[in-house]
Amino acid sequence: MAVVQTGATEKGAELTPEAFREHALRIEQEIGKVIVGQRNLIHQVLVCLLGGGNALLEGVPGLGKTLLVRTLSEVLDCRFSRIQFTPDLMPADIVGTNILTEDENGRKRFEFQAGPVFANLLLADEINRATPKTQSALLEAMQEGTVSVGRTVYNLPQPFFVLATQNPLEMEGTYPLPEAQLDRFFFKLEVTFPTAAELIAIVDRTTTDVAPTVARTASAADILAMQHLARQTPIAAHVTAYAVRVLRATHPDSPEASTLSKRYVRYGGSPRALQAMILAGKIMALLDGRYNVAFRDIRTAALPALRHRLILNFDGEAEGISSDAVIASVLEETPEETK
Amino acid sequence: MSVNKRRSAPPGNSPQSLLEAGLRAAGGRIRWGRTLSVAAATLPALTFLSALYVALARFTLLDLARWPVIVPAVAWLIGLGLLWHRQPSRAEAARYLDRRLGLEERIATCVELANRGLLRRDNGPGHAGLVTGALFNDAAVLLSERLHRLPGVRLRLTRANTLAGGAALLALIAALVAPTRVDLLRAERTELNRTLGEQEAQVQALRVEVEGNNRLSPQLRATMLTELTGLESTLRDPSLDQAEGIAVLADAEEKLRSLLHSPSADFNGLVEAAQLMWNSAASNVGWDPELAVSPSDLGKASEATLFMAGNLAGLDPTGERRTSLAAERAASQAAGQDAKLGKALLDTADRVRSRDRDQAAAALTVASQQFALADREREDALALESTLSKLNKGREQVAQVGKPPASKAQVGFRRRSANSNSETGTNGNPPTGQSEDKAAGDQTAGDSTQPSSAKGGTGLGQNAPSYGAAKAGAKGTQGGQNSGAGPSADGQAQPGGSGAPGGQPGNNQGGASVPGQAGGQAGDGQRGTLQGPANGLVGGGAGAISQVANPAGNGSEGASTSRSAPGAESEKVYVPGEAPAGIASEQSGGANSEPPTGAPSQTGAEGRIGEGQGTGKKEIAGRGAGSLAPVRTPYKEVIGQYARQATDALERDYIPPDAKEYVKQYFTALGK
Repeated sequence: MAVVQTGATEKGAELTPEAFREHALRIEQEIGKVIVGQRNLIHQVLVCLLGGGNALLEGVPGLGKTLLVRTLSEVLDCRFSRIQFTPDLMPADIVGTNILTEDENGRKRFEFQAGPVFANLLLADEINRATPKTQSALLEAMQEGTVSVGRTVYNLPQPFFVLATQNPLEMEGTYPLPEAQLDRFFFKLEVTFPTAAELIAIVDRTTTDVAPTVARTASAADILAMQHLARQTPIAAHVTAYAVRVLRATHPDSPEASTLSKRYVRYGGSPRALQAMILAGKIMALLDGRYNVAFRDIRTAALPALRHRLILNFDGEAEGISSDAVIASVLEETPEETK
Repeated sequence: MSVNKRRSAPPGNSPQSLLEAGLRAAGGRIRWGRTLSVAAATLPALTFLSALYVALARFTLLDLARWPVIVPAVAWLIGLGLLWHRQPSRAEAARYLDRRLGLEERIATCVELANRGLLRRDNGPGHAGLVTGALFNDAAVLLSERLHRLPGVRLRLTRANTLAGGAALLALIAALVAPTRVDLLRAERTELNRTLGEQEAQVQALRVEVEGNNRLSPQLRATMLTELTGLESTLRDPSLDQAEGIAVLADAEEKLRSLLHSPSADFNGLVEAAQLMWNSAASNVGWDPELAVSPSDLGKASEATLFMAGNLAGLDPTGERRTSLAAERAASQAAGQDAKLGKALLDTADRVRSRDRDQAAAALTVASQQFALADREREDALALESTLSKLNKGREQVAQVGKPPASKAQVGFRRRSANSNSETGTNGNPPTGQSEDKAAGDQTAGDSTQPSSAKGGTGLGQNAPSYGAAKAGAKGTQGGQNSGAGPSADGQAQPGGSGAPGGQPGNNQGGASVPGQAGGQAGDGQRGTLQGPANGLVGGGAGAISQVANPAGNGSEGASTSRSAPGAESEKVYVPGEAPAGIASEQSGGANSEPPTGAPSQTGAEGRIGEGQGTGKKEIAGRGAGSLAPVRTPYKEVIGQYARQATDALERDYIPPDAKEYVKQYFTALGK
């Protein structure tokens, strides 16, 4: 199997923790110029980006999900692609396909035509509207950073970041993401409705001729360097143990299971959830100006890292228990220190 | 946008030293906090444990030593000391610092990295070095800023802990101060053990004394030694309780008492006969009492009569007459107890008077043998009585164990009772200086004037059994009240004996004793109640009337009451001529009495006996000075009756001729 390097993959330069935070803050600041409010959402999207993961944004239409991703791509000076998922969207429409071409000598050959997945930032808009076959086309790209077409494996450009959105209300004609694919999302972020003041600001910004512009503040290389630095953030063993206890508390059969987990959870978080919590904790610590992971970071990362990885049982579904409520109970009942 | 610039540790303090100082401070607080926390959590349990032990020691009869109560406390303190001494780990101290100073796991992460050798202040190469270096510096700076805010150790008591501690403390206080009888019982047990030990020592001394007494018959000595040895070993048993101790002593008393065929008082007549004989031998045949081997009168009499048998030839007519007369008198004294001796002495008198010296010598030899035999029997009786008396006192001491002092004074043989007043003399005064209180009954063998067959009870009875007839006019003891402590099932007293004839003239200072009969029922043994009319005789002469209160029965806790004669002011009024039922009477100044020494009392006076001032029991010695008693019956009405009774007695019983003359002269003088 041939491996083809596509696009630019820049190696990150050495970065200090202070520079890391400076870059991150600048990115957030630039995005904030376009996106009104949603500071937490922007922050967590940035954590996903710096953690090298993918984010699933869930929210009703019109809350700026697409705008957020597009603005992010502008700030980062990265190649951006958008795929509007529809039921008739085919996998080849995402990853690309081999097409028959004829050269100047008249010889015909197959040439790979890269799909929109070959980008640094990929917006998978309304991902739940595509068929599972098409959705699964993203699996390899999201997890491995590669695309296999025929017998050829194509490396995706780094950094590769998928931002998928889905509408929780219009469920008709949609295909809920399978658990395997959900697990590949670093965070699942909920886009909340803006407050009144934010709505006013949105109106002010979008109903005039003045369109906000953003500056490119970081390159792909900077992002890679930041990703690399984030992974160097130390974490104490007892903090890691706490994250493990939190994860185990989501499993109903675990001795550390919380009250709600025992009642309403069918399957708890996967090891990817633990990885996400730790990695997100590291990034959050650096973004907070600290150089080590604290319990607080784990608690903050737990909700977005776990909420899409918990599978509720029938009782939970019937009683309308949300994963967030289960996670809250987990965090409440899991002690930071053990005897 | 503001980005925190990295700060540096304060000058003069390296990050490493700051970190170590913080860890030391945290370690100390952890040790103290941990120790105090454990102390607060375990103190209620410790207090409960101590309270439990104290309760067991105080409220049960378990023989628990006191020192173990501090063992849990000492173990607790040692445990706390060890806990305090145990150093917390650096990671533990680091977490404490992070938690208390809000350092968000900086110190713990630094310590962990340092333990893995990854912490370098110079940042080191690569991203890892950058981050760890920044972390080390950041942690040191924050620690230096916040270390002074490290809170001190505070003892936090939970509500449950406080309640448990309070309850435990209350339990301990209650266990310490709550009244309990166990201490008293334990003290009683100690006292009992001590008393039993004393009794054991006394029995041992008795045994040694019996072993060394060569005058005892071998058989009796062997029996007594066996009994005393057994008793000694039994008393040595530490598990013996009070009732068992009393029972053991009473049992030994009973067995020894069964060996006592005749009380020593039964030998009084023989002793007086013996005195007459060896006095006669001394004055008539030149026998020297100083050379006598035996110290007793009976022994001396045996030697003297033997000497006399071999020296009858030396008697002159006057000596023959004196010897004959002495033998006659001795015969009259001895006949009551030893008929063979009486006959031998009477034969002696007749043969001496008829100057048949061979027969007289033979009779004297027989008399000598009888005296010797009586001497041996009396020695046995005395030894037994002495032993019984000591055992009885020991039993009384054992029985008094555990009684409060006030009760002990009452737990005697005689207890004062409100309706038991007796007095002597006309004015109801007690005999001069002779009424006294004693804690225990003093009716001991040889002191009572009334024969008694009472037997001591085997229970808790504390009445002194009366072992023998009291000597008339001697130390007649009188208990106005008779009481005892403890059951006495079989105590009985024989009715009082008849009063002996009146005293001899000359021995009775200024007063004559009217013979009277004192009969009476001594206390029936049950509960020691002594009831009996104490009507008796006139206090004759100086020998105040004393009534032998013969408790006989070993009554316990019973108060004896004496019934008054009709018309009397008190329970016991002695009316001449009306002496049917006195418990016992003692005629002072009687023929066989000891010389009374008191002031003369009016003939025919009535005396009330035994009224004393003491509590407990009353003893009225017979030697008290007589005093006038109110005359209740005209003398003229009774003198005739007494004279007739005396005449009848002279004709009915064997009375030595000389004595008959004395009696006749006496009543003749009274009738004038």
